[in-house]
Amino acid sequence: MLSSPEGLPAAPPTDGEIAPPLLIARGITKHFGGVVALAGVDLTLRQGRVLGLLGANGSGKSTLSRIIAGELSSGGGEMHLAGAPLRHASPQDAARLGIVIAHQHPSLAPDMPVWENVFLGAELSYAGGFIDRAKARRRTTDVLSELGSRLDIAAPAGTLTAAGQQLVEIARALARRPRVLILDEPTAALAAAEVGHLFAAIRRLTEEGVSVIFISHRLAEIDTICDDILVMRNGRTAGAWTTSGRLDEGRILSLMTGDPDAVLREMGERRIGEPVLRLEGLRAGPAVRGVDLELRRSEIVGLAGLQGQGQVELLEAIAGDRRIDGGTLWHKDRAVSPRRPRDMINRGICLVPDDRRRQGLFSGETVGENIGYVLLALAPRPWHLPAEKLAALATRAIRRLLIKTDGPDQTVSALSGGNQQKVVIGKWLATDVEVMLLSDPTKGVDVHARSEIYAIIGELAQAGTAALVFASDVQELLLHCDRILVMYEGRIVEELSGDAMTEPRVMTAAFGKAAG
Amino acid sequence: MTALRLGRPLLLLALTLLLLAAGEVLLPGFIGPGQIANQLKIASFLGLFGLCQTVVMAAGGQGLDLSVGAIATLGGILGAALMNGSNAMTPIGAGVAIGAGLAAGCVNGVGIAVLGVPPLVTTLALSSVIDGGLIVGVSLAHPANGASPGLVAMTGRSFHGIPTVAVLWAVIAAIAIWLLSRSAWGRRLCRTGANPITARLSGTDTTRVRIVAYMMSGGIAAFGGFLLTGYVGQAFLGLGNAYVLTSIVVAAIGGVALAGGRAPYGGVACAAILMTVLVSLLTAINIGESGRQVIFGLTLLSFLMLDRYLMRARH
Repeated sequence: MLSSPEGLPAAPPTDGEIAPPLLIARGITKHFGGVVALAGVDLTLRQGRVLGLLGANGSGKSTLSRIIAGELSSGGGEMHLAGAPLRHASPQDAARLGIVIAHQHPSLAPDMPVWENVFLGAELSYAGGFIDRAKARRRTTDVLSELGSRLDIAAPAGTLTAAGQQLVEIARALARRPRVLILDEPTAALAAAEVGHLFAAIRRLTEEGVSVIFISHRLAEIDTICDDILVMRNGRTAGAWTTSGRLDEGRILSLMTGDPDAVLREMGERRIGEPVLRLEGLRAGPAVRGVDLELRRSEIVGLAGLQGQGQVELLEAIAGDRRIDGGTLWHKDRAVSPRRPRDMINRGICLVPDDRRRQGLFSGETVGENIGYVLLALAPRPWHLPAEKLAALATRAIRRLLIKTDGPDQTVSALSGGNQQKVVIGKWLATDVEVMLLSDPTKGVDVHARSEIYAIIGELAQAGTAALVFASDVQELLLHCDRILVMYEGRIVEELSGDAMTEPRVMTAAFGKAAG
Repeated sequence: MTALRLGRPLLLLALTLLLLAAGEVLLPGFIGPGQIANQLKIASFLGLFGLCQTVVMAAGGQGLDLSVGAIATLGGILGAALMNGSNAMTPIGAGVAIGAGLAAGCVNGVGIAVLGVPPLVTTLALSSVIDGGLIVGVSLAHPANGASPGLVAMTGRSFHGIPTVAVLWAVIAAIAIWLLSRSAWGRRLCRTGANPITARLSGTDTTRVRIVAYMMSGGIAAFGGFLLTGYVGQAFLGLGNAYVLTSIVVAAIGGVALAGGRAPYGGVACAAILMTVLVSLLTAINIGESGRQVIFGLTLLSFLMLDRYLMRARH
């Protein structure tokens, strides 16, 4: 168990009693060159509570947390820690005062073992200045088991998965025994079970009086773990309140967007039609080991499961981007064996790939060029450039998908993640999409853009497109899909629909019936 | 973007004028009409081979065609053998030469795009196969090697002071610029070079795009070799060797990205003119082969550094 640092009240605040503020920030500002990142934020973090920090990408959440953690200096405003003015000049200063941050993108030393990474910069030493390796190893094992992880502490950090590295980053923060723990999107890389362990660890910490700032785009997680909510917009505090009962999603969205009428766009009514795509024992490489599924017109089907169970590879195989080794892929009444994505695109089956920057976009080109490219790739007369058609398509896609951009001539890499993803979806408006395969379409996308992306999928489905969506966030799938298929070790092990579509059912299946 | 696209050719042309002026000061008569026509002829050949590199470099994947020299020699020797000095057979000679170039380019393309052998290795290997094969073939068959009078006339003469090869080059350049920048195919080529994964997932048959790029390079190189036969009067082993590295140099100076994705042939054409004038100026003021090579290399280096600088300035 982690013990609480000295100087903290032993008794945790009980429910109903207002916990005293531990960290107060008032009017914090920050400029980067001419860009205003923070325009006066107020934040109150109370003893033993979890404060959920919400806001669209670029609203200043990370900047604020880095200022609190001493990684950036503030341009103005003041901070108090336990009543005393807080003037720290470095992360080391902050750590001495008990303020520690775990970053969204861990910067570990890839060649050093896990345990050295955990204690890097805070080595436990004997009086002589030697590092106490045995103690560091023991403490690392303890902290990681707090998080429910059995990582090999001698393994070089660079060999770990993204989830493993995130756990090491969190362990590194916990090992410093914080009073104020800042977790910047800690769950983005984690599987559901790991999130569960993390939340249990957070609960234990708060019982010991530790205060936590929790940043996430996932409303369900905020709902589960947070006691207080702070919504930021354009570098200011847009609203702050204590949660009571269920999270008010509408309020959060309207505060985040500044639009009082912003609501999660509801999916319209859909009539599910005849089957368009059917797989029989489809096999592709070691990752896809015999998948049967059927997809119908206007249907939205979710692919769930732990990370790396073959979901991405399955979508790539259907899209013609991965060699099919066995089984049959039926499009309507025809068995097809695609040799390249183009074969499937000509049939109206297209993929919104996993990594939008590497696989979905030409980052150096404009929004219009990116949206129009599919039209050019499929153009029957290659010597011709249908300039007017391209311009019309770009305008239509920008308007229909609500892409926030200066116009079709803006470079696509200047857009936010959510808007880049809309461009990737938008280029398929050039064709008649019968089946849209989406691989984690909301990765790194803020909650508002996320709901817009699902609204787009819903609109396409209304028009007859069948959608097969893999998402690492189960909540998303539960909210938007007609059916959920759970993959485990390259096979579909469970199909859930209607009332059976619950998180526990999905999670049970995700761990594999055979293994369970 | 537009400023950059126009800026490069203008810069190169300005440098060319500067060199011409310097030449006239140093050696009065340097810019006489006969001289200019002569340099345009030489530049036309360099420009044609530069087009080969422009296309394959734009297709990406470290694209490069080291076999343009060998394919040009092949085109020249085959063409001459078939023409056998007769005007009537000249078009057939040209057709067979281009056909052989397309076939050789197809071998390059399949090796690179299907089998995944790096372009440097593939084209160097094919180059050596063709060179060796030609030595054996010529020594066994002793084919005719003279250009037909018609071809000699076409490549050597001028029409109202403008050399006919230069006119031919201008026509090919205009078609190339239009294809590369104003056609769906040009976009496919450049996007395949810029990001082959996205291009493929967006419906491009990237393998075919690359094979076609190497075929075009081969076809143009062979045609260039055929024209060279007319210009020098006869085909011989090693006819195209001088163009292997110089074609890459003019492509790089002209603004073709070595990483792929950009095919500004206007710039390459201007670079071909600039380098031709530079070489002739250096020769005229009696700077030897080694000195010319040093200056050639320095010019290439400074343009590559300019590219890096512009790239960084944009980000």
